[in-house]
Amino acid sequence: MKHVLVTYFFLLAILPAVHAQTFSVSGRVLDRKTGEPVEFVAVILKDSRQWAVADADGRFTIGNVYPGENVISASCLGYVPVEKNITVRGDITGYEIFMDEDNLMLESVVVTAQDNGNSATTSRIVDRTALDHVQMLNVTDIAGLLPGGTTSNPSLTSAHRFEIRSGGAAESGNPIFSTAVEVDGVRLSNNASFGDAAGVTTNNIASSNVESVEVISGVASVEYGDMSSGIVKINTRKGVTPYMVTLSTNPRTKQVSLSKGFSLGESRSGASAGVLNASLEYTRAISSQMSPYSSYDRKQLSLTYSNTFSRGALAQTPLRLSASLTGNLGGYDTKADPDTFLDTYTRQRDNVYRGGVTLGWLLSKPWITNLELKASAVYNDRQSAVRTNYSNAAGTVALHGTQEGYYVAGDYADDPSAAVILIPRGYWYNTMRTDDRPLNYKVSLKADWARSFGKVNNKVKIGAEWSGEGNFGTGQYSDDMSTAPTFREYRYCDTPFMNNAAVYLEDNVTIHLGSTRLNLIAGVRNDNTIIRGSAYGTTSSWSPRFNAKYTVFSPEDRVDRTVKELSFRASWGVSVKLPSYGVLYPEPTYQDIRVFTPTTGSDGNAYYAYYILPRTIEYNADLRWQKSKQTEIGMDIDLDGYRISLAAYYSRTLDSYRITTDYERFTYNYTDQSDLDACTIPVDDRQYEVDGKTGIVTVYDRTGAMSPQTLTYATRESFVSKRYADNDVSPVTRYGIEWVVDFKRIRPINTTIRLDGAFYGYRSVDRNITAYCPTSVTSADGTPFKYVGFYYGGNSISNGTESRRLNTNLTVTTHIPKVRMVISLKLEASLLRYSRFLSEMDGGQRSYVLSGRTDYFPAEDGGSIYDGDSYTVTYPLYYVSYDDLSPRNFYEDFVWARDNAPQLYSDLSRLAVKSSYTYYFAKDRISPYFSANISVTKEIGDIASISFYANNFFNNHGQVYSTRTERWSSVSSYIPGFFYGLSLRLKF
Amino acid sequence: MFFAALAAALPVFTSCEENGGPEATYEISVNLMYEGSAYEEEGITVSLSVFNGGASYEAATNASGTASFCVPAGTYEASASFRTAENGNVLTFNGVNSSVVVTASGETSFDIVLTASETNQIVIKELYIGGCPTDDGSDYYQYDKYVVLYNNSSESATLANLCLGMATPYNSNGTNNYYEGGSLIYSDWIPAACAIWWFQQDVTIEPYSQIVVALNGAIDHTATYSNSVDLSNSAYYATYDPECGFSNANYYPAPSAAIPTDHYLQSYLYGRGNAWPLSNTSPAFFIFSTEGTAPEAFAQDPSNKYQYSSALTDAKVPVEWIIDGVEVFRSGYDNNQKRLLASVDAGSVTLTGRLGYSVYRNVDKEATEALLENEGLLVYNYAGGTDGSTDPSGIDAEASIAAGAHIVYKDTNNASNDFHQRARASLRR
Repeated sequence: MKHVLVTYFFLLAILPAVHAQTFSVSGRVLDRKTGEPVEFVAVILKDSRQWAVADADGRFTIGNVYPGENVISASCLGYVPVEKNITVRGDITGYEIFMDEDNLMLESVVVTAQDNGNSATTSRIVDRTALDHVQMLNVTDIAGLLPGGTTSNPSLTSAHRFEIRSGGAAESGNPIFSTAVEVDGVRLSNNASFGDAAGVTTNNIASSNVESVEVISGVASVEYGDMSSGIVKINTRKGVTPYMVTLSTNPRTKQVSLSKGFSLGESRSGASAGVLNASLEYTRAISSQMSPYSSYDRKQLSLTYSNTFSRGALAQTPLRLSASLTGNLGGYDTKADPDTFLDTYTRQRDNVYRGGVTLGWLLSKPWITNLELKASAVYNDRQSAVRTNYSNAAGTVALHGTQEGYYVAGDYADDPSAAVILIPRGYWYNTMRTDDRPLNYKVSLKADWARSFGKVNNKVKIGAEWSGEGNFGTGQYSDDMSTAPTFREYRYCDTPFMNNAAVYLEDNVTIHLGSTRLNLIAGVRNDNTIIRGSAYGTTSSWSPRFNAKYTVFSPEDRVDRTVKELSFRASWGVSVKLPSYGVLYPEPTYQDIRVFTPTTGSDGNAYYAYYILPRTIEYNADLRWQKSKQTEIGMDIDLDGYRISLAAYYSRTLDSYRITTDYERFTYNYTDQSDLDACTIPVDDRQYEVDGKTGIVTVYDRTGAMSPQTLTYATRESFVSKRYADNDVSPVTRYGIEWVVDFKRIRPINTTIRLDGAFYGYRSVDRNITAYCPTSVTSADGTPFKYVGFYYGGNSISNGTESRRLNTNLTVTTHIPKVRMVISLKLEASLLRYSRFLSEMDGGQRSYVLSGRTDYFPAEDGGSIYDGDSYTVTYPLYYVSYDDLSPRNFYEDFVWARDNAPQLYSDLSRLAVKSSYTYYFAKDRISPYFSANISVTKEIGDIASISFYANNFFNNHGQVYSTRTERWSSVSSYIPGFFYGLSLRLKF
Repeated sequence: MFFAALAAALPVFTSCEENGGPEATYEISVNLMYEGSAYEEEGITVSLSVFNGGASYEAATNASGTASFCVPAGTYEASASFRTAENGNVLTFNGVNSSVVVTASGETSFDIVLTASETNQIVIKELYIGGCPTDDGSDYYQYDKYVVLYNNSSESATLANLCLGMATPYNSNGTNNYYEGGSLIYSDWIPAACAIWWFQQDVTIEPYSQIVVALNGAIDHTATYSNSVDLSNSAYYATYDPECGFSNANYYPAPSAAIPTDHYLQSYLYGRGNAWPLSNTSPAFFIFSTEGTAPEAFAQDPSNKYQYSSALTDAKVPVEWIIDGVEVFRSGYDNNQKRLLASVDAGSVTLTGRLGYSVYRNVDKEATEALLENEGLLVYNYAGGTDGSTDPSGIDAEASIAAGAHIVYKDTNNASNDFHQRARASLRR
């Protein structure tokens, strides 16, 4: 790798000498309708990555442009982007770019996701017109606009997360955790969460200020790390706009927003003072119309300042500054719910503060084109409070101790710091709070260099980034420890930050071969994760990625031809998902073993004793970072106005994170009520003490009348569990095909038809050997269960799943420019929904068919478990006992015990895992089902637009048939219920 | 002792109107069948009731064991319940046919298939499982369940290996996978869910006396919940075996010091969970004796286990082991399904939970009044029922017992006849 990089940089150093003469490109940007100049338009020469921003007169100048073919593009908020080929052979002056205002008067309006034609991998963009049309309230609502996407009714009272090319959170490989989300280049992360590995929630992202959303589901640039299941890039409004007011309502959500892009005028020198975008949104959602008090609030203010400095010394090397700050206050609250009893509530803050600064400097030097410095930080405040009403007829214990040993319960008044507190019987309230305040920041520096050499255009991108994640929260605590339930203090803020240093290099070469074009992108990324205070130390991971796109026909060359566009693309890449705090700094857990059970006195109190056994997740020296290897091929063709886009992918997620349980022997002394039978001290005068190391209980007489009495006890030999972070040894496989067919516009009725769909396949089989012991029950001899089974793929009936889905959508859009209205009717169909549980083992059989439900041994003439008409049994591969940790063949001993050792047979039978349905392994095909949605948007002049939608407007309450259960069930589990909403947008 | 047929026939309709009109009634016959042939006994009352609490009709059988009715078109449930005694053995007959569909041109003859069961000395007198309101109005309290077992005879009763069980599913309105084609798949066993409890020693109950088993906390619940009961009595028993896996301290706080440790019932958890989840709305509760088999050996034997679901394992308790059972249906639901076989409990009693109600056995008026020692001790005008449910005998059993009377409770192995909903649990003071 090192030699390759040295050679590469040597070539970069000598190539600039080949061409030295440069020219300038200057001109104006004008509104096509009014002829007025358009300010703040970003004009970019895409092949050379040079740019300028139009001034108040719409004028722009890009200097130091090397001669040759190029592509000039112009984009500005509120206008339709323009892109044209341009040939630079000398200075170009007076180049005019006419831009159309983006509204429904245009001939071409798209209200679905559009392919990003500039990308060499699958990437789709949903613009503001489409977002307005679907009345997005949560950015995840765009899922229904992607190929084969299904619509769900908007909701903010439950957490929503993006998932790309996955079948949901239940699938292996943490697909949602591995999907990255960025807002204006600011990465949102959930790595510093101490809970389960889960992706970031999108509820706190103001939807009204989103200009577009790009979903990169293919192999993304090496610029993007810490993700292995795609990335979602959310872009907010930046540019001059009038005042814009949005009022939205549906039966569960109300939203009002105000935004404006202010031009800050000119400085004394005549330079633009920049643009300030301000957006204010208030959204309130309820979980149900029947319980309108459980609510989620989002109150968000966003400020974005952007300016270009291109005067004086920066005339040839303009500097672009963009700084944004977003604050959100809100969260979930049940406090006002009159159905909630007597001042009990759950409140969960979802406050977030995001900030980012980007400095882009066009240097246009022979050895560097652009330099970009970015810094961002995201601070979340997820403090929560749960106030609960308690009552009990007997004293209850709450455990707070964190040190190992025997402890007897004590009264809070006597020792507020006791490891085990006895809460007297009666009624009380307690408020438990969790202080969870994660922060992540990132600083990155990126340089690019772009140059054309004859038919070859080369762009190189090199960058480095430093990111850190930590948590300032103090974890769980209570307002009143005298009545607090069992919990242990764990201060999140005491855990060190997890830092990651990354470097990447990417070369993007476009070769013009006759009228065709070949685009090759190769990149590599190296992440070094620095985990202070953890045995994992510093780890390094590499992510190579390749993309290729071969454009046979380009639209601009084929205006009158049948095949107007044809291109093929292929990608392969590795992406790495960094672990979360839940893996690296796991919150300790405690196994509390009750070792003394006295009787209950007349005051209702029983002073139990416990053995507290801390159980922190153990360090796993073999833990590897989860990664995905993704392969994709695609094709785009335009056949006389019929546009077809196809993408096929195959990905394997390797080394998925998982938490694995193992067991170890543990002995303790146990004293119960029968040991008190001999105690002569009156019950209500007894005071218990337990030896912290031996567990021996001594009874004292509170009155002092009688001498202390030591109780007898029994020694218990048991297994206790321990957990450690681990990887799946077998990959999770996902594959699929996505397609979009845009039919040629039917001009007489102003109608377009889109047929899109997605086929998705998934297969995962757990091949890890994992242990299981039912520690909460006893063996047949009445002692703690003494056997541990070791299973291939876990102790579930199945150790894997395969599924396939085929969803297709038909969208008919009628757009009437004259009346500025667009109506879309979308029929969503599930044509295939298949799943089946698997039980597989390399080199053997994992599960067997039983003759009957009460059997434990394989049927002699049993067929395949996949016939779906028999009960099944799965045995551990081997087992160990408390007395003998050497593995023993389970099945052989089970057979022997049946005839020779009833108690052993009974105990081992508890390790045999049986199915309770004959159809457990049967193929499950859900019969096709459909849902129809309608959306209408109407512009009223230039000042207002109104949108209405109705999901499942046929109110489909039909039934679907499951081939597995051979039963019909309501389709409501699969499609949204009838739902509707209305939005009014005003501009002034 | 011989028990004659329970009631004289009181047919509501003595003749049928002409067919065809909107108020038309139709003549049908209901035949008693036992072991494949007609049960030819005259004077046995057959009930015909409309589903979901509609009109009901009664008619007595003729010498061929057939009862005749004139009823409007509709779907009815026909049932019969009576006792006989021969050679000293008391047999209880029960039968029900839930598919009596009367139409203008349909079937006119229907059968009730009778099952016979022996009547035992020990019966379930009261089951309190529904919980009661809390004092602060926050919710309801449910960890005060108990059962009262009663010696319903004049002879002392001793039972070895006496066990408690509950049938699957826990709630009568829950999905019942034991039903296939509208019938229970078992006919000679009852599924005991999760675990069984057994007494540590033989249980002796004196004549017309009772024992109380605290099914959750054997403590005084009334200090916190004034609508609850005090189960800390030294004579009471307690289901308490935390080491077997039932470690949930809400369900099983340490028993009161007053209760001797040999009154703790023991258990073996062959299912899952940390508590024996006896329904607080609608259990099918039963008591049984494992007879010559040790309860723990029965509970541990894999050969009698039935994997009901991934989370629930049942033990198949032979019907001949079962001493008594009560099928409780959940009030307000029309999808309750029976779990106990007709030979254990041919009917059901409906309970409204959370209000401190219990299901309480009715008094056998005839047998109780026949006891000479009860003269002048029986208290009448019982008004302890609720929600339209009451003891038709009119005898206030608890008041009579307090007065020194001996109560013989009704035991037809049919909870519809034998139980009512009592507004105040008998142990509540």
